[in-house]
Amino acid sequence: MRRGTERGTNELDPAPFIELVELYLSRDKLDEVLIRRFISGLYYCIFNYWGLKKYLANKRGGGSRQDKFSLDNLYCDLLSKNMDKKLIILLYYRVAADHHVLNPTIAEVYISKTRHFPKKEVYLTRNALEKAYKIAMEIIEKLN
Amino acid sequence: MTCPKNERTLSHQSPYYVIEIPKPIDLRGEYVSKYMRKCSMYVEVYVNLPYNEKTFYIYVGESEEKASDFIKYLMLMKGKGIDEVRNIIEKYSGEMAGQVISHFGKKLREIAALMLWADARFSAKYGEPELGMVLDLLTNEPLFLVLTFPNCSSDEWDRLITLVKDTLRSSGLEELTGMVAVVCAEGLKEELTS
Repeated sequence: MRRGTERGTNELDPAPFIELVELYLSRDKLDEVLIRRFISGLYYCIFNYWGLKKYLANKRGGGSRQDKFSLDNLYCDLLSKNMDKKLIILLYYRVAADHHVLNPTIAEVYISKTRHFPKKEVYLTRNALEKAYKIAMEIIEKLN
Repeated sequence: MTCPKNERTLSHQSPYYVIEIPKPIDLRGEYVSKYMRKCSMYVEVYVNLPYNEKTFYIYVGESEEKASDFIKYLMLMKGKGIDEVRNIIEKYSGEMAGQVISHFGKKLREIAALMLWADARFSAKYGEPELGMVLDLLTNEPLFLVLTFPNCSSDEWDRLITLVKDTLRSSGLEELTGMVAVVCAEGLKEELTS
């Protein structure tokens, strides 16, 4: 493993992880814990990959090694690339997977004047993981 | 840049002018041509005006264009008092208005213009838009704004995003495209349950 500025983006390339998700999606056995961890993993591997790309493009973050990035900057980048729909759907899955224990559950990613608009039922199934996987692929493609 | 003769002020309080120039257009300077390539109906140039803000908006055109529709609302908001702008934010965000104002205060006029434009342009088809916010789950701090249309489907969602963001870009508000997410409430439900 290389350190600091010697790092290349391929070291945090999410492709191998995405292949693993793909492999599990093709299998019969896929339990809820795996679905939750894969959704969360897809979300954070996008974040890591985006952060490293920023770092290598000399857009440094915070922390002693200037390698600490915040999620709001990633959101800003994705929204600037018209990826609103993908980001919002992925956020609902991520919040349901990491912060709720019931399945299906009611997740609320944003707040709005009409309170029921942001309250959506999220069911963490194979279909949900497949959708999160496709969204992650599209986001990574845009980041490249 | 020399200002065309038929300029007129939008409001006596506003530093913004609307200039209608018949085609063919003779606008000088690289800055202008850069914007002309993006949107032939609207350009933004800087001139030495004796006001705090030195942005000079020009309409160029024979017909109404989407971007220039938005610019009208933007100019209207630039000329309004802050209380009126706050009232507009409150109309669309309800009790979250305080948080919107404190976190996105620097872009308040632009956000108010966006809401008025979105309401006028899309409410007949997609319902009255609302202004919401995504909050950080741990700190409860606002992360970005959400422009929600109640009655639009998943299929219409992508088209709406493109339309809203392209309008912001062609109006010189690139920064705002990264601060606002466009959401179709019905479309989101469809996506999460399909």
